[in-house]
Amino acid sequence: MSAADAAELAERGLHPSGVHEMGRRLLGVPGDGDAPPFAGTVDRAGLRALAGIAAAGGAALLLPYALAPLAGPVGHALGAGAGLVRGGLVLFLLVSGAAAIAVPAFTGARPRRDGVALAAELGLLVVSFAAAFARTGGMLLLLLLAAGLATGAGAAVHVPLLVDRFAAEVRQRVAALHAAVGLGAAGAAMALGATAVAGGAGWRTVPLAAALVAGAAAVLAAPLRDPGFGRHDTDRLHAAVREGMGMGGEDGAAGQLGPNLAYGETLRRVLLVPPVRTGLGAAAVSGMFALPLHLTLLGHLEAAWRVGPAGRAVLLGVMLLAAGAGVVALAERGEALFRRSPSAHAGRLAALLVAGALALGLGALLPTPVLGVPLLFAGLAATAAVLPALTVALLTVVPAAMRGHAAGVLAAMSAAAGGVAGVLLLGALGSRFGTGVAVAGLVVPALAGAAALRRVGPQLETELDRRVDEIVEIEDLRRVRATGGHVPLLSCRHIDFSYGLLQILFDVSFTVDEGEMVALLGTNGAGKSTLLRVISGLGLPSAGTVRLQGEDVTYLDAERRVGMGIAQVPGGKATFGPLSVVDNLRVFGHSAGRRRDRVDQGIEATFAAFPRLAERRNQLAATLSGGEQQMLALGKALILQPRLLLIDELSLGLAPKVVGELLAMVRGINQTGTAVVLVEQSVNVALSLVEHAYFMEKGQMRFDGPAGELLERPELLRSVFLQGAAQGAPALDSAGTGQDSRQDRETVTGP
Amino acid sequence: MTGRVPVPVLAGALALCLALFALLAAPGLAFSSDDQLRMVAPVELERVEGEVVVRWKVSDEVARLVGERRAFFAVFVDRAPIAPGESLASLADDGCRRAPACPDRAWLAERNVHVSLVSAVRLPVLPARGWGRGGTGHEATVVLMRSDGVRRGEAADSVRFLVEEDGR
Repeated sequence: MSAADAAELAERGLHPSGVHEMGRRLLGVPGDGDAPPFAGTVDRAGLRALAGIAAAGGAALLLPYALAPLAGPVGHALGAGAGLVRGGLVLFLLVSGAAAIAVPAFTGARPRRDGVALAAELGLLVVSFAAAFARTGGMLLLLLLAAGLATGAGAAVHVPLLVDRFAAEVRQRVAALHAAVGLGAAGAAMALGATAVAGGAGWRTVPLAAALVAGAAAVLAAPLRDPGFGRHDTDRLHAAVREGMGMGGEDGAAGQLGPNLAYGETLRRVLLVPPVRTGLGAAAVSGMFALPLHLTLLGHLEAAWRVGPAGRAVLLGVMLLAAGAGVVALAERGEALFRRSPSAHAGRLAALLVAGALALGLGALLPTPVLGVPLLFAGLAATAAVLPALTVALLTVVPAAMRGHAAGVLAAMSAAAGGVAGVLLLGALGSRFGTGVAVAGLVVPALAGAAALRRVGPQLETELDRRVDEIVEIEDLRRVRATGGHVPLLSCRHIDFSYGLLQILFDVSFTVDEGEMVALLGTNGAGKSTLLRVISGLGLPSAGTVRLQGEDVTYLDAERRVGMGIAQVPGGKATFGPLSVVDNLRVFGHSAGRRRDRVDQGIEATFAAFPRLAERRNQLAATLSGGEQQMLALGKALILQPRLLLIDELSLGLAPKVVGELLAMVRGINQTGTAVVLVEQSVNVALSLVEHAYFMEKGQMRFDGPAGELLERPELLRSVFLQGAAQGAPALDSAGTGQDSRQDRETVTGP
Repeated sequence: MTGRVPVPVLAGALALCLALFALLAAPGLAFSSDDQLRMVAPVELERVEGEVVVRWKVSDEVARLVGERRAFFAVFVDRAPIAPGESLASLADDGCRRAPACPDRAWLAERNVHVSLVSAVRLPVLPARGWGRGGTGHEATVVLMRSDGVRRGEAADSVRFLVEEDGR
């Protein structure tokens, strides 16, 4: 922890507002609106790192952009039309998007992005070199596909490396420089390649030159070292919070508490970060304004303004170079705005996207290049500034170790989804109305992208605070563990959950102690079953954490949670009807990955606990009575010997006598040390068993306390009773706890 | 990078592999534009009325080969040329293959492939096709063929031109 952090924390203390202010400052949002001087913040080593990463990013675009204006000569030389290169470029976009998503699967949670960046450069060197010797169109297509792989791999690591290598106060500008070098390299490749070919060099010299530049970029990227995840922000905040708790503020050992997420789990977790999910649409729109737009403009310069083959490549190349400079110029103000307010910054990006699209459309529709070229340049600069700025903003609110996944997803949306959609849209509009109208038509997706960007802004603000809360929660748990304090078996904190756009759970917190049995009560549609799904992993929350003995399991797959001791008996559909009783148990045992002998032992233990199931071991589950089916469901869960058993609507549709038997079994399970969460609509069934109860209504936790106290809250319980009455059942009396089995049955048998 | 093999050794090995690959792969490939074939008419994106004659100029070497009947020209109109090393016979369909001497000049011309021993071909009637609003004009690509009908090398040049509504 830096001395400044220590001093700041000493001044603010661990008061939530103080931690939030400090966290936001470390994440690059201090609220002051000042962008510190670049030169004073980035040292010489930083500049070398930036040069390496930027050169790598620039080299990735050389081959496609150099070949784009040479589509005709290349196609004819290889016995194909200009469509060969154009098709190859679409393939390039698709594959680079796929590679960008896939690469984090190989890097995982280990910081070895430097190796990926270097391997990508060496790959580009080899591919570009080989492209110069392509003898057939098929071979060139394969090489463009390989170039896409290398480009996508680089795209997944470059910006995360920049974010982790540089302090938050310069990240927007650093990312803009990286993007500007990419645009400049693309423009230079386009202009120089076409000029060289017009001057008598064969098209094969162009990929050779690209290979040379890729080699130089590899030399620059070789000394690069992965700085680790969150070195400048989250690591420091972890250390500061630890210091504030009096636990020593040494750096490192940050990150989550709990098992490492697998690749798929991490991707899902990243996609559940609201601004990332919303930002994907804007990233896709930005992708339309990259290679697809540039290819269309290449054709447009010829079609509308009769610029010759070499001239149009040079003109567009120079415009791209100038646009790169424009992106850098825009970044200074963008940095200051982001530091003041991510919402305002996102609003500015939305404005840039729309203004850029309008400038491009107007420029393309003008009959003369005198006015058209400046407008096209301005439009190219404005639209190109969006993606790097958005990427940095989104990576700021993604957990540090997951930034590669987020960058990969954004790059994939931009290159593959946006790129291919852009090619299709521009192609369709261009063939029907001409290239000018096609370019102008991009205003429509730009408006959609701007709408997404405007939604991203407030989500960024909320997510910044969530990241800080998450870090405080982790360090608090560490402190509790270190001091031997009490850590509950299950702890859900501030859970939000949505089915699509419909939010079901709102800031729900829920705790279960080791060996405890609690009741989760509420009306139909209150969110009880959904909360169980979030705990068991069948549903993933959009916010909040689920911890099992302090370990973060929020985004773990359900099967991994089963292995950790969480089992669920789903309401009313927990058995496989066409299978026999014993096969139901066996299937469940094997689904948990148990050995056959262990499964057999588990089955016999279950039959010992439920003799009635043993009598019907070869009977089909569908032919069992409702009570027996629930018994079988309980038995299936018991095979796993869970630490936490989630039971959803055990009494649904059953006769009181059967319910009584089942409840006795649940009590027995609980007495063996298994914690139980009993979800019930029947208040008196549930409260006859538990000491502690929760009550949910409309997705919110309305009561958390001793079961006896809930009985004294008629305003809560009334809704349950009224529901029962509305469904045709006689309402319970206000006591609600009467042991009248007839009344109980009527309540629990409601639809 | 690996911690075992020094980086300069790896770089040297990579350079050596690429050089070897280049030595083996380069023969027969054109790394410079040698002006063996250069379209002269129509000029790029010219609006053409009436009959369309495509002309090109050739290098001395090509002129000598054609003069000795060791090579001829093939002009592909609005279609991709065949690949180097590929034969015009590869364009033949089943019907053509059953006929003797097919593909011949007439059969090829029907499929927009015009062969010639001189540096020009007169094109048959072409549909009107402008520029913009989806129009991409017409494109003619000339390549050099060996006397046995196989495309010789990568030399090629193409031109795009526009045919007016009432033009030919």
